[in-house]
Amino acid sequence: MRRAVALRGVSKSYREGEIEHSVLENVEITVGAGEFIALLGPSGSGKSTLLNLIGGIDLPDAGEVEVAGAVINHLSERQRTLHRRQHIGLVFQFFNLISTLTVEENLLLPLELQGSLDQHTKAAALDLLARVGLKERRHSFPDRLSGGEQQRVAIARALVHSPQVILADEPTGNLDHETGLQVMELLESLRSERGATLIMATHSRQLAARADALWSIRDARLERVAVDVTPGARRG
Amino acid sequence: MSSFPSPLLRRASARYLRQHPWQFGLSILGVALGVAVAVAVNLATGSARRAFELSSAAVTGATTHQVVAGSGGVPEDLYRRLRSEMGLRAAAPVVEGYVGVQGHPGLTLRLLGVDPFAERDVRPYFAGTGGAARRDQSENASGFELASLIAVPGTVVASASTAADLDLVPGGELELVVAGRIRTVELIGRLRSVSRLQEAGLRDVLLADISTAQEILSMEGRLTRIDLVLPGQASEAIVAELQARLPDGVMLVSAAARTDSTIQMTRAFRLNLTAMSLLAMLCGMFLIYNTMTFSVVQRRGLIGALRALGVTRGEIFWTVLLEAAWVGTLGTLAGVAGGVLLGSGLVRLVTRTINDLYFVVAVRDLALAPTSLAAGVVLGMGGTLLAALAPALEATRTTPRAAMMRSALEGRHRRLVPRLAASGTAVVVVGAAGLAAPEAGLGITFAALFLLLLGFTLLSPAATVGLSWLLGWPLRAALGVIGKIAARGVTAHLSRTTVAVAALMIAVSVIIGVGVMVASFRTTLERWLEHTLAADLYVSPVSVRGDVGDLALDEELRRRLLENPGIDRIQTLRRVQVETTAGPVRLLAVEIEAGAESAYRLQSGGATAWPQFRAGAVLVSEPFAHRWRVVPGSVIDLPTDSGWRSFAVAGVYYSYASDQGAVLLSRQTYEQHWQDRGTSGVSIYTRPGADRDEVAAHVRRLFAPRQQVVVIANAELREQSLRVFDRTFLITSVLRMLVMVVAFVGVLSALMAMQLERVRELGILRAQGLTPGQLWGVVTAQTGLLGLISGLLALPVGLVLAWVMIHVINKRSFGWSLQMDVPPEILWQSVVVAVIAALLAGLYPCARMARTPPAAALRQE
Repeated sequence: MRRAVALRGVSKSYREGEIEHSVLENVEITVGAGEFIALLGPSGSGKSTLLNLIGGIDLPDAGEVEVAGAVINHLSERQRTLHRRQHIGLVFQFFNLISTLTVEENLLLPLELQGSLDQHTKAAALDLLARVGLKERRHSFPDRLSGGEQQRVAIARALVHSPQVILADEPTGNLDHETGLQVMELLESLRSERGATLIMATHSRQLAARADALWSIRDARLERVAVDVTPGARRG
Repeated sequence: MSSFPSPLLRRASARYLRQHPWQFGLSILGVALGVAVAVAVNLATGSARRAFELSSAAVTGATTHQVVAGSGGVPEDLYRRLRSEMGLRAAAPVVEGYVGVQGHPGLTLRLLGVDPFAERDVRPYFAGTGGAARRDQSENASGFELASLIAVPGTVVASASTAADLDLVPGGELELVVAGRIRTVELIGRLRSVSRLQEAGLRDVLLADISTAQEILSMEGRLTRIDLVLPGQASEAIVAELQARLPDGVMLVSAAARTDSTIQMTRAFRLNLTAMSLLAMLCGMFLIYNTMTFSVVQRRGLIGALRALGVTRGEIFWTVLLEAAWVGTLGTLAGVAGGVLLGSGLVRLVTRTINDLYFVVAVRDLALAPTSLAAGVVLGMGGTLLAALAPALEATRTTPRAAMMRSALEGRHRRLVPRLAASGTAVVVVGAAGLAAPEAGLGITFAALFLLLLGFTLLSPAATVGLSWLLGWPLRAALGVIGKIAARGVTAHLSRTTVAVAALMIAVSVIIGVGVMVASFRTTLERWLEHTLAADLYVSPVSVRGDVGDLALDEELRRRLLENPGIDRIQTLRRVQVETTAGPVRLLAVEIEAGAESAYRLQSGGATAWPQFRAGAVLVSEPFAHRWRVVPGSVIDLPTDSGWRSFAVAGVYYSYASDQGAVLLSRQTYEQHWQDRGTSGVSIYTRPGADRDEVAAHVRRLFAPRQQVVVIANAELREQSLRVFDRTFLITSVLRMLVMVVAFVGVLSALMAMQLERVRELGILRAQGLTPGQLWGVVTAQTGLLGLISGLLALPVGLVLAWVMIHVINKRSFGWSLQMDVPPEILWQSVVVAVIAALLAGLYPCARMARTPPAAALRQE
C-alpha cells in the first residue's frame, strides 16, 4: 500500500512559564493511502496536536512528518501552506466556516485557492453539495445553518479539492448523537469514494470502531490498540 | 503564486466591512477629518501665497530688477539719468502705496502710479492687444483716453472686477484715505485684462499717472522704485556695473528675490499651521490603527480557519491591507472634498493673519492647487496604509491552530508592555536630542516633536497599567463589584484599552500644549505691553493695512502739541522700512530720554548697550536677531541716504510687535544718516491731574482740518493689540478644535469597538443577574476610568508639548522668548474633556448592550 502519512520520531512539547509539558514523545506511525485511522485519547492528550503536526499547522520539536510524499517540517512556512492547500482537507469540531462567505462560496474557496476553479470543478463541487443535501442552501450564510448542516458543508469543503489526506478533529464533538452519526456516515462514504486517507481524532469509541486502525495517545506516547469488534460498531 | 487575495477572499473581506458599518464608518470619518484638515490648511496657505504671487506678478510684470532706495524713496531724476545717460530703455518709474477707501471699511487698495509711456516693456495694461502705448494714441484698447489719465490730475483706472467691487463706473468718484487725509479721485476707465490670471492679479489695484500718485501719496519728486527689464543674459557683471553707477543709498535688487523674500516672511507661520494639521492626521492614524487591529482581533478565528485551509500569510496580509486601502480611499476622497470646503473657511482666517502680521493680500477664491490635493491623497492613503501595517502583520501571525485564545493574545500584550516602555523611552531620548540640537531647522524640530509624541504613546501602556491599579482601589471601594469588573477590564483588555488611552492622551495633550502655549504667549504679550506702553496717549495718522509705517504726522501740527497745557512732554517715533538685499528691514527711530530706557527690556547687551546706542549703535529686537542671526557685537549694513553704512549691534531687546523684528536706533543717529524728518507717531505724557480725555479731544481737534489721526489711550491700545493677538491665534484654536474632533472620533471608535467586543462577556454577566442599570454602571465606570487615565497622562505630556512649543518651536520659528504660564483651568478642563469624551463614547455600546437580551448576546462571538 502506498504511504500517505508517516511520522518518524516526532516529539512536541509546550512551555508554560517555567514548566515544560511534553505532549508527544517519539511518535512513529505510518498511514497508507486510503486508510482510515482513528486517534483516541482523553482531552488534552495531544490528539489535536498530532493532527496539527500532520496538517503542517504546527511544527515538531524533533522528528519528521511526511505527508503526501513531502517531509513537511523541512518546508518553509509558505511551502507548507501551499502543500496543505493542495493535499489536505480539514474538518474541525467547531466547523470553522467563513462567516462572511455563503455556503457555495465556502465550498469553492479551496478550489479557488488552488487555482483550479473552472466550470467543470464548480459543477463537481455543486454535485458534492447536493450529496451532502445542501444544494438548496447554497446561497445561505453559515450562521443561518444548524450545527449539523454546517458540519456537512465543512466536510464537503474538506473534500472538494480531492485532497490525499483528510484530518478531522472531533468532527461530531459539537453535534447531538443522531446528527453526529449522520455526519460521520457522510464523511466516511465520501472519503472512501475518493480513496482519501482519513485521520480522525475522537473521544467516541463507537465512531472510532469504524476505522481501519485505532491508535491511542497516553502519556505522550502513541500506541496502536485493538479494533473494537462489537457487532454494529463497525461499518457494514 | 501571487500573494494578492483571491476574489473569494476579497469578497469575504468586503462583506466583513459591510457587516461592521460603525467600525469602518468611523475609521473613514477619522481619515476624512485628518485629510480634510491637512488639505484645508495646505489650500488656504497656498491660496494666500498664490494670490500674493499673482498680484506681485501683475504689478511687477516683466520686471527683472528694481532700483530701490532707503526710506525716502528713489530721487525722480535718477529715472531720467537711467534712460538718457545709461541708455536703459526698458525702465519704468513706479510710485506705490496703500490707500483706504471711504465707505468701504477694511478695504485696502494698492495705488500704483506709473508713466503709461514707459510701461510698454514692463506692464502691458495700457497696450490693449499688446501694442505699445504711443504718444499719438488718443484712446487705448481699453476704451479710455490715456491722455486724460496723464493730463487730468486725480484720475485713476482699475480692472473691471475692482471697479465692480467698488460699485463704480467710469466717471464715478472715489474718496481715498491716505495717512489720515481724504483725496478724491475719478475713475476714468476700466482696464481690459488679457487673461483671467492678470485680472485676478489686478484685483484691488488702482492705476494712476505717476504725478497723481505722487500727489496722493505725498511723494512729490520721489519714486518708490524704478522697474527694469534687463535682458535675460544680463550677467552679474552688467548688474554690478549698473549698481556701481547708482548713487549712494540706491541699490539694484532682483524682482524675483524681492517677491520671494516677502513670501519667506510667512514661512514659519505656514510651517506651524502645517504641523498642527499633521497632528490631526496623526490622530486619524491612531483611529485606523485601532480599527484595523480590532478587525484582526475580532477575526482571529476566521483568519485561523483560512490559514488552515491553505491561505498564505501573504494573502492574509494583503487582505487586511486591501481593507485599509478601501478605508483610506473612501476617507481620502471625502477628506479632500471636505478639505476644499473647510479650506474656504480657513482661507479667510489665514488671510487675516497674513494681513495683520505680514503683508496685504486679498484672497477671494480658494486656489485648488493640484499639488495640495495630491498631497492630501498621499497623506490619506499613506497614513492609512502605514497605520494598518502593524495590524496586517499581526494578522499574519495568527496561527491556523483554530482560533488563538483571547487570553493568550492579552498575555502577549502584557508581556509587550515593558518592551514598549523601553522603546518609548529610547524614542523620547532621540526626540529630545533632536530638539536639543542647537542648529536643527524647523523641519527637524517638528520631526523631533512627533518622535517625542510617539515615545509618550509607547510609554502609555505601562502608565495605563500603573494608573489603573492606583485608580482601581477607590473605584472598587466606591462601586463594589461593578467597580471591580470595570477596573479589571482596563488591564484585562490591554490590547484594546491602550490604543484608546494613547489616542485620547495625545489629543488632550495637544489641547493642553496649544492652550498653554497660547496662554503663555498672551501673558507674555500683556506683560510686555504693560511694560512698554508707558505714555498716556498715542497719536498716529490713520493707516490702512499694508502701511509699512512711512506715513507721517503733519509736522507743524505735531510741533503745536506742546501748546496744550495738559501735555507734560512728548516722545516721537519714526517707523520706516528700508530695502536690503536680504529683504526689507523695519527701522524704529526713537527719542529716549535718559532714565526712560527701562521701557525696552534687554535680552542681551548688558550695561554698555545704552551708552553705545546713544553713540550711534543700534539695538535689534529678538525676532530680528533670530532672523538675521546677529548678537551684540555684530555689525549690520543698512542703506542710508548717503550709501551703505555699518551699524554695530549694541544689544537685543524683547519685542513682540512683529515676528519680522526691527532695528531700534536713536532719533539722532537716524537723522545723521537719513534726511527724512517725519514722525510716525507721538507718545504723550500728560501732566498730573490733567484730563486725558480732554487732551485727546484737543489733539483730534488740532489735526482735524488737515489730517485724520488716531488718538488712543494706553489701555485701549493694549486692548487693541490683544484683540489682534486673539485674531491671529484664532486659526490655531480652530485647528486645536479639529484635532480634538478627530481624536474624539478615534476614542469613540476605540471604546465602542472594545465594548462591542465584550458583548458576550457582558451577556454572561447579564445572564448571571446583572441588571441593565448595573451594566450601564460597569461600562460607564470603565470608559470613565479610561478617560480619567488618558486625561491624567495627558497632563505631563501636554506640559512637555507646551514647553517644546514655547521654548523650542516659537524660538526657532520666530525668535521670541516667552514665559511659560500654566493656567490651572486649562489643566482641569482638559481632564474633564477627556472623561466626558470617554463617557460619551461609551453611551452607544451601553445602550445597545442594555437592549440586547442576554441570550442574544451569548449567541454572538
